[in-house]
Amino acid sequence: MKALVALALACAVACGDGGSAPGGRTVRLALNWFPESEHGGYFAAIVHGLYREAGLAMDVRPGGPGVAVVPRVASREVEFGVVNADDVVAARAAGAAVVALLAPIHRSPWCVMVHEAAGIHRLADLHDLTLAMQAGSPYLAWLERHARLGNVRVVPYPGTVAEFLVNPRYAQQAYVFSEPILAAAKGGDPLCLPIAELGFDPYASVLVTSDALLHAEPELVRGVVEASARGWARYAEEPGPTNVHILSRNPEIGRAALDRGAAALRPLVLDDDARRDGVGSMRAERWQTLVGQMRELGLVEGLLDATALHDGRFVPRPAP
Amino acid sequence: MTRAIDVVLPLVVALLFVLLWHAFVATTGIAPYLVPPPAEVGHEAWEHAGDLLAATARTGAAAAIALVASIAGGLVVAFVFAQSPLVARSLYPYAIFLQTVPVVAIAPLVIIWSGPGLRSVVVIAFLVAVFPIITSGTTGLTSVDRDLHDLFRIYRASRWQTFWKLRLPHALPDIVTGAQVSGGLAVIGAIVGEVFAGYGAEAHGLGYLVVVTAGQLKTAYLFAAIAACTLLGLLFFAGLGWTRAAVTRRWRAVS
Amino acid sequence: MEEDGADAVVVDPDALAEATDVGVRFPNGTDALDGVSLRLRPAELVAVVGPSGCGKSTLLRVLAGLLAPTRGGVRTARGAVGIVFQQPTLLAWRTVVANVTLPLELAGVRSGEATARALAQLARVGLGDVARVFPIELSGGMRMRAALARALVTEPQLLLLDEPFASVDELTRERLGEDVVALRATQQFAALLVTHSVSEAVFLADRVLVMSPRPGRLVGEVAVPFGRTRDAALRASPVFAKITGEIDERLRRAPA
Repeated sequence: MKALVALALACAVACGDGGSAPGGRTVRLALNWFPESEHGGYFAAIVHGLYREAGLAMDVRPGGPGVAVVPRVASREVEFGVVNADDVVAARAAGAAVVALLAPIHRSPWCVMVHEAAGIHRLADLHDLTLAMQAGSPYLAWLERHARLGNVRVVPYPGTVAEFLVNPRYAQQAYVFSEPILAAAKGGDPLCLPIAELGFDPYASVLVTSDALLHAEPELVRGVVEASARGWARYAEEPGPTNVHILSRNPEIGRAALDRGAAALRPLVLDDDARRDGVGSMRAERWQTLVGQMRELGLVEGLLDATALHDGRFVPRPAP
Repeated sequence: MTRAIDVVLPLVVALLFVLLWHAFVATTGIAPYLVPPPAEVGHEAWEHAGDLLAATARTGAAAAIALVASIAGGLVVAFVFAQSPLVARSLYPYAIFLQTVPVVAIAPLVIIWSGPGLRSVVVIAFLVAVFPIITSGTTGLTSVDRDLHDLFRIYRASRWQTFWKLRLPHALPDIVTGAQVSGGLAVIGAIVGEVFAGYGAEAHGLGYLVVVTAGQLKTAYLFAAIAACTLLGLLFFAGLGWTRAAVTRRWRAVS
Repeated sequence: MEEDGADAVVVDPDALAEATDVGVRFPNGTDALDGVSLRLRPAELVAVVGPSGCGKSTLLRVLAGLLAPTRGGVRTARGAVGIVFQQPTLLAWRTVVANVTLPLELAGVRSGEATARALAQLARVGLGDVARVFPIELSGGMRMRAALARALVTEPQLLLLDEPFASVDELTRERLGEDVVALRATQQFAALLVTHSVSEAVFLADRVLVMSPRPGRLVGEVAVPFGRTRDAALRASPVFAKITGEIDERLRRAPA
């Protein structure tokens, strides 16, 4: 009995936070929200041992409301982070030296979730609604510039679908593979109007690291990028086992939401760009366009070199 | 009467602080989105002066409304406590206890019940600011000299006369002191309320500016917004302090 | 006549205030007063002297109607009563004249008339010049005089003085005593003066009652033959010394 307890304790210590684990060099990845299918590829790389193969022990740090990823990556408190492309632009504009390495989700999942019954089918036509959006977000700024928004009252984003379910004149920001699935599961009639439709299409679930780490330890970065890209390819094909793991880290989300989310994500990950250049590949023009758009929104001032924002050299190319 | 030296000395400290801050940023080379240099903060404040002033006015208005409501509501409760020792003994501990419930826990609840917008912001600020009025008002109303009470009894004063002519004027210095505390709390409450209630179709308050600039990593602008919050708090404190001095100048307790 | 007390009392139709066998027992069991009887006639000033804690202030509060006796009865004539405490107890937020009008205000007297009467009373105590001033700006002696004016503004038949000049220095105390004498000449009132100063009692009173230490009992009465007009020189006279000596003796002899 005592031996068992001692063994359990030893395991707990060995498998605990920080330090050098039996898996090899520990690297930390900070997520921008609670674990969801949005982060599926990174968890898949853990579940299928892809980081371990590269001699790395990946320590995922979940995020949540108000948790900032970029400053922690820039200050090297964590080695890697998961953010959206617009976060990368804002970060560099503010002087934070982070660089995007991998962009698995090629089409922005950001959408406005309205009621099917409201009869609105285009973002440009949003009218007579209460719209819940996160304060200061570039998506909101773009929406305000490019959609009519007649008699639309903007209120803070609540982080749940509760109000949506009870109020037919309510719409809120959402991710295509997240809130609408939750709302449908609870009997609502959600319709997703993607922001990409209005021409604003930042990459999502982007892997970033600090300029300093990329410069100092390129091989480490290579290992993480390659394993993550293969993880995403795996997750797109076979999300099941990974979703079990994600559920263990975020029990509130529910298995069904994860499975449906993964299904909704698949076409955004395995699109033409991915088939041609590899899962997670990035195109320079997309970054250039994004910088220009954010400047148009007044969120970027002064000169900003779009090419310094991204470095996709480690993204695995598809086999010819 | 504030003497010139009472204004000059704190200003000198402020200047020294700014110089130290500048030196710190210059020597440590700290990232500007963590600690921006004072010059940049000043620049942002100047650039966005209109926004900052409008936001300050909005937050200040919400805090002022909440403060007035707190004084009125708090005095009613203090009156009830003072007139009925039974009620006081039953409920006063809760007045103390409720002060400790953190506003960041209450705020989301208020938003759920009352929706985002000015009304919720005022309610949240009220909930934070009302308690010092209750406690100081109750203390002031019940701490009257026994001899003074006896005097009123000898002259057969009614309960109302005793309240109006004795207890309330006696309590006034305590109440304005409580109001000074409440003023600062009302500002804090309004800002916290705005952080949660965000914005409606109307103009934005300082709480909103803080959230947005922090989210966008516009740290220099954030510092400017924080400075505006501080100045607003100071304004309330000084204004109420001046009122307190005016009220109590000739009223220092005399036996 | 107002009645306040458990037992039947002897009625003296001339008395302004009457205490019969009054006893006061505090909730903690101590007896403050033990069977005190006295009678006050109109326009007479009676002093009660005794050591600290003997219960003389308690007696005054019983006569004022502020405290109900646990034994015996008290009767006081209907009509205004004035009271002066050890501290001036002026309202700090009111001017002197507003303090003096307070009893009239509480009785519902019109403000114009109340102010006029208050000013007149203040003139009688020599505070006419400082009527619009706040109490904080007055000296201790002036505040006591204001308290005196307040006590007399309703033209009471009975004035109660509870160690009224204990909070001021000796010189001021003597002057205030002379003020009371002067007031008795122009205004008609009976007074009960509680004091631990024998000389003050003799200077002001027509009769001096001596009280024993706690529990208070009246153990002696000394008549003071000086009449209404008394001046400062009186304090130096041999008769004065003799009477104060006699009272001191009684106090010393009083059973503990």
